[in-house]
Amino acid sequence: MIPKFIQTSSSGSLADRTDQLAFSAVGLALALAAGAGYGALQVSSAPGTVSSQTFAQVVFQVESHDLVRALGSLHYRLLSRTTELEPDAKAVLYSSLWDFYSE
Amino acid sequence: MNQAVLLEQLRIFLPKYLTPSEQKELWEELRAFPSPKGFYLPHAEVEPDLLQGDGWKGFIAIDVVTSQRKETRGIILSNSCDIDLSNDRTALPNLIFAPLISLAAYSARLEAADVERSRILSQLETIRRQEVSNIFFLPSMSYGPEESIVLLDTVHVQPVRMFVDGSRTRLFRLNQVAFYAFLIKLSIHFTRLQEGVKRFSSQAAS
Repeated sequence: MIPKFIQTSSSGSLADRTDQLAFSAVGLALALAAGAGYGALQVSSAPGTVSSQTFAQVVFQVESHDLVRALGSLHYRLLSRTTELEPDAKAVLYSSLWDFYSE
Repeated sequence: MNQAVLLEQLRIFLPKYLTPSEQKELWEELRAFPSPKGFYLPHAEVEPDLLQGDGWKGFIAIDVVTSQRKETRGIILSNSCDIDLSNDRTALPNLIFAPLISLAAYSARLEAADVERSRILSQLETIRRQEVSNIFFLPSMSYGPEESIVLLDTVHVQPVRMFVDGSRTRLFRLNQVAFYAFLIKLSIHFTRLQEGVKRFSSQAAS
């Protein structure tokens, strides 16, 4: 079941809430280091609202979470191996993009 | 941190909501990456909702240069929550997608452009290992499309309602590990939280 919103009540500790997020499927996405800030923005007592204090706390908590550190390592290990297509291969791909789109 | 230590550390933090057998399966698939045993969920287990990473036929792409319009297969980049029409909203959301491109068609085009065969094979293998930062590779496996690629820097937008009301067919849904890989690729392409660039005004120090 996919949550309609990542929504938490205003009660309970922030760490609890961060744990809940980190161990959910969406939380894992949130924990993927570079994407963390976007997920954090959705944590609030009401969807679409977030106080500056909450934002600062959540960003800090998410960034310091062990899961984030672990996945952050994976993220940057992947990043260190990433590359681009060679220029001529890239040119062929991008010059024909529209032709590649198909039903 | 070496690979073995990293994997052990990751195992500690596998999602706790999974059953032991699901955790084991996830763990084995993570270890096997980038050559997982599976990549897609069986069609029978897929519900009709729209989720991030789903492949569909029936998207409408518009070429901003020529204003041409074309129906195409694609993969949803939007997060699942923000395109869920059952959520109360003041405005209807848009759906972000990237078209699927056949790897065979791309390979054929490279050959037609007289790119050396060995270099073509090398490029395709790099893509298959998920090492090209702006490309997500979709392997040909059960319940999936033919070998395809997604260009993360070539995205299109259309209203969710328009897509839902149009003629559409689901092509695939990523399994758990494939979804993680997809998110990591999205993250690498779109966000670099630790980009290493200082964004402070020099006046702040004075």
